[in-house]
Amino acid sequence: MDVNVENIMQEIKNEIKAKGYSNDMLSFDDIIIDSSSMNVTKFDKIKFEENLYDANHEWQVNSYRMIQGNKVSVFFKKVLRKCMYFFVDPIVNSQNGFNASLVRMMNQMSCYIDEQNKEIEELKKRIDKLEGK
Amino acid sequence: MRVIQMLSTIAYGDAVSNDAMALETVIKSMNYNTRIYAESIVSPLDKKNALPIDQIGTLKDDDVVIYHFSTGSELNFRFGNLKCRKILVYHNVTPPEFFKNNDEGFMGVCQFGLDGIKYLADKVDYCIADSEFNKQDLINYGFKCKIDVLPIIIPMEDYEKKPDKKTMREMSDGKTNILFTGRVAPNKKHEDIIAAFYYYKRLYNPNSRLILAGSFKETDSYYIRLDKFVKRLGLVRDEDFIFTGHTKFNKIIAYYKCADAFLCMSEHEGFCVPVVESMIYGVPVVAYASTAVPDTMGKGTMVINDKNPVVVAGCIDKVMRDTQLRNSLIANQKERLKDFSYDKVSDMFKKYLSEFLG
Repeated sequence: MDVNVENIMQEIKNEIKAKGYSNDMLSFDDIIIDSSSMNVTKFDKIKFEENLYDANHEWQVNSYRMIQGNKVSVFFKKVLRKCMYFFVDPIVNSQNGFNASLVRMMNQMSCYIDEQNKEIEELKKRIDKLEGK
Repeated sequence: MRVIQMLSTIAYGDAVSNDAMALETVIKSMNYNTRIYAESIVSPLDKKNALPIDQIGTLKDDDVVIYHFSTGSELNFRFGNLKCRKILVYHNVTPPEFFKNNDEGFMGVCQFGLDGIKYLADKVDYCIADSEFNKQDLINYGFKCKIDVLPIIIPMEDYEKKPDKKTMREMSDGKTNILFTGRVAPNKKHEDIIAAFYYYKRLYNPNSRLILAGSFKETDSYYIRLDKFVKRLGLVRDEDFIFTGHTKFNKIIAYYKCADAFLCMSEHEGFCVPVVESMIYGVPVVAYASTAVPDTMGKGTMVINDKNPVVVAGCIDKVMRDTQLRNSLIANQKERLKDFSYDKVSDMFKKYLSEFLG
């Protein structure tokens, strides 16, 4: 069956014009997020130290939460928490073990970077000395 | 002689993976020894669906490897150096520039994909492209071998499965449902869909809902921007619009069955399976004319050249209100759907493969 899209589009545009509709919304291009913390393209020692500090203080997660609500809902939530404990707790422990390994590894990495930087500095000095600078 | 398929990642619900699995059925029906091998096999798929690439074994000169190309991977280069007969199935690579300001890391993956396809230009014996657009892409990259166009093979009976009842109930509440399916990615231009829907709801139909069915990562910059965008527009999540995330197939079916119109504003598609899915369920499609989309949609369908959200909203309204137009669009889509019938496409593939094998 014949469908003339061009004519339909023209008809729609004329109707929009007649009704005075216009595009006044904000542009998606104006929606900006700070993605610098996620997309890293250059090493930044200060940011690294900041993130490492956060990781050292936040690596441990806890499944225990204070229960809030009325007496009935608190009771049921406590029952549910007890019932789920056998399932949730091992997962949380495994996650904590993994997080701890990662944070230890990053601490090692930090030491390694510092040691390497020192070594490079020493080597640079020796090169300068050999080149007679 | 083996006729095996290779791809970088095989995953549930992924169009390229589905194509590989459907082609495997066809190759088996031709009585060839065949298997799929992948670098990464994503659960719930397992060794029944594909084997790890390192289990491919020794390839003989007369073996045929069909390689599905869709992203940046080291496998693209390994495939080029295989000592056997090589068929490239080209699904296209998303241009890296779409990921600028959204995912700098993925920009690199796409660029690696473009490097890979250029590398393969003189290293394959035969190519199959999903669409005329993809074929032209290969020619532009310097491919000189024979290239045939074969639509993505879609096992239509999969779509006869029962829809999720709960989703059907939730979506059948009297609201007009505007649907888009596809993972949340910058090339799919979800922001243009949201903008058009915003005006449709504001100017034409307050009793409407936008369903964005497709996977996303909470930490993805593009998704975070979209989330901010809808909030700034004052759209209410789960009331005015839904981001479903990765969802089960029976839920997807329910969304299609409850959809009043399908809106596609994507700016890069190698084929665009979702518009074919809409054709299956008789949902009228309004689609932006970009890359392979007009080719897949076919003649007499609502393929538009305008992205002004007010105009797109007007198009949706027209399709919803004009019964004659709506019926014509659905009829033309049904006609186009015949070109993608499983039998037709599988016969084409059998013919192409037989001709290649000689």
